Amino acid sequence: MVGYRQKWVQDLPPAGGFPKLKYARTSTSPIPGAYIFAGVFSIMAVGTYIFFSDKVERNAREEEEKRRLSMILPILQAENDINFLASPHQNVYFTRWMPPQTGKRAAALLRDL
Amino acid sequence: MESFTRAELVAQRDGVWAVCGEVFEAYEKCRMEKGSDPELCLRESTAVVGCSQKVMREIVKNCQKELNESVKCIEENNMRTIPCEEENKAFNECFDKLVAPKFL
Repeated sequence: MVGYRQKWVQDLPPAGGFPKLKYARTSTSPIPGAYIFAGVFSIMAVGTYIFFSDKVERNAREEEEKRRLSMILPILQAENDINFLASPHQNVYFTRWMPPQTGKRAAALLRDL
Repeated sequence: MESFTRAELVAQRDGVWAVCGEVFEAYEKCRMEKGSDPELCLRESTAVVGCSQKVMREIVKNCQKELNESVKCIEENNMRTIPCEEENKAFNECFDKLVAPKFL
């Protein structure tokens, strides 16, 4: 016989028993699929509109930049032609004549300009 | 032949076209008609370079400050001219007042 001093207390259910467990299915408030579709579609529509309007503006800007750059193309091409003619060159292609890239060189034809 | 940067040429595009527009159009017409050989359009290309050099010389002499501001703005905007409308307007005013009367 062991002389334990602690008095053992049996673990018993509470008086009156355990309350009932809520195991029934509980669903959230249902959202119709059409509403979800409309919401997502509206968001995508707004984004698409923003994208395309910005794209149109961007393309217009690029066209304007290209037009302004093309205004100086005669100067660049003429300088390139004169620099090419002022340099020793020969036609090294057998298909058609294509001007090779030449570095900056003082043009003899315009030395006194 | 003096060399100018792309920003400088783009900055003064309207001015040089106002003075040398006919020469540029003649050169473009010649290149369109006669092909890529530079010898065939040597007279026109020489005229183009001469005219643009003449205009640029006057611009550098009279409108150096406005040209420098335009060039700085264009170079800071990755060679874009649309964000530099104010500087270009100031340059055009200087060009119309000091450089254009010598040619037009």
